[in-house]
Amino acid sequence: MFCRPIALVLLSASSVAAHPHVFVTATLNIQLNDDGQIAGVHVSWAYDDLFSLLVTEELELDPDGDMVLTADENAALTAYIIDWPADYVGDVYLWAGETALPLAPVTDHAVSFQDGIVTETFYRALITPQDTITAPVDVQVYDPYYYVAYETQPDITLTGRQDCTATLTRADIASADAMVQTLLNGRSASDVGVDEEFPQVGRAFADTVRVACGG
Amino acid sequence: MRRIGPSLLMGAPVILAAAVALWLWGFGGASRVGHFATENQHWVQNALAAALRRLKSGDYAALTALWGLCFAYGFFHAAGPGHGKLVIGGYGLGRRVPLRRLAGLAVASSLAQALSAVILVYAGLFALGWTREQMQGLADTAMSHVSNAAVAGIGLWLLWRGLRSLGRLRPKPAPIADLSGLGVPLDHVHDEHCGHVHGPTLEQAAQVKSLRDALMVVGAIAIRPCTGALFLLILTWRLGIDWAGIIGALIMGLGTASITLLVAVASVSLRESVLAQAAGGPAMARMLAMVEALAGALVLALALQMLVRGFTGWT
Repeated sequence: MFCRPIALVLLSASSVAAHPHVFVTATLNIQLNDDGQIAGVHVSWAYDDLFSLLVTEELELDPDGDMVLTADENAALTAYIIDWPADYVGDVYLWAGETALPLAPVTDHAVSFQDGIVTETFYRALITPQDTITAPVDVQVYDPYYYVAYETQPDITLTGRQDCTATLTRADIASADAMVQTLLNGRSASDVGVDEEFPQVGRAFADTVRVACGG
Repeated sequence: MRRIGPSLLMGAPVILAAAVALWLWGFGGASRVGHFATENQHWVQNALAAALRRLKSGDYAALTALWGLCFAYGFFHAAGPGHGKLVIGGYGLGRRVPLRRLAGLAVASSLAQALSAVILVYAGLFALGWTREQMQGLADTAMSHVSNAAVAGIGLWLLWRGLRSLGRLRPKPAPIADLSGLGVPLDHVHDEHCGHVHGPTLEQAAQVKSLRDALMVVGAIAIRPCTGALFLLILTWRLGIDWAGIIGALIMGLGTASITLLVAVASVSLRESVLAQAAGGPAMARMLAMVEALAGALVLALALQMLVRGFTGWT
């Protein structure tokens, strides 16, 4: 989800950020078909405590603070979270080599609230299922602007075929930081003008899940 | 040098470690601290939410926890990778710098930055004349208020931008020739956190000759408020404890200033004691050059210790 709720904050941060302010734990379930093709990914995003509190306070939910929402409040929260901006592509990327695989629009979009944590779940199907037997497919969850830091849960599940594996490789944060410095050509992020597009460095901070079948 | 150099290498991280330990063990979170500053920030962010929830439920004892966490947030924020504080330490070693002036500027600019966050949030809300009661009475249209607040924020932002380009508030730091070739970045590797600067550089401090100059340096740093402070202010406003958020934002500023102060004091102290030993001797000039040369190496070692192994060994 794009951080629309806190518009004020975004105003000050969207143009220059190489540092996350929202932390999200991503859980993935990979959908495969009989032919060893990846058909899509079920995604779950658990937002950090502070951001969850910010959203629920913004919407004035849970006034008694017992972390239990009424049906109406749940509906309001869901409507708010699943309303992705038109230009938001969803922070989920599937790659065959360096080719980004086109994704169908989001489906099964739902939101839950438990113990003060807002969790958003949805499914992204590939427009064309992609073979994972001859070459693996990489799945990544990241915000290109690294305003949101996604961490992929290690317990990735695979559904639909038995002979497939999902291998998680953590982002190399130190290298990514070094890359950002190089990109900025020795300038600090704070010297990037407010009108300047900040380099889209998010992918360098992304965990990678490599899916392969028939191994 | 051999006698003193290692003591700084050991000393500065120990000072920092003590501060980190105090803030973490004081709030029982040391075991959860991860390997990177961003993970520390993640943890502090979650703990902040817990403290805010306690405050929401009327438990005002959570205030001390909230404010302590604000300090820790600022501290971790400023201690993150690629931060300019370590380079500031190198400048402090390589040159005679006005430490007291630097310290004053560091604190003043951090507090001004916190104040600018307060102004951004409250001007955005106050300018359109809403009270919290009005907003609560209009819960179903809360979203339109948020976008209105955003419009107010845009106005304020445009005003700032205009002032900034008019006044050229941000002075261009001069390259430090003494440290060139030693691998110390000449363009100080300033903080990318929040997309803003957390403290003045030593050249900026050295150039400050008047109150007007000082205000310009402080203004240049304060012009971009910290996202963390904005989060805090919006939340505390929502929770009806504005004052707790405003004080918390200022304490966050002190947390960021503390890193600048720690590194600057450690480096300047080392330099002065080395100079005292060589004072008056014929080797003075060579000694000075050596100090300058070693400053680069020291700051690199310090940086490596802090950033690569970093907090992992201390918590």
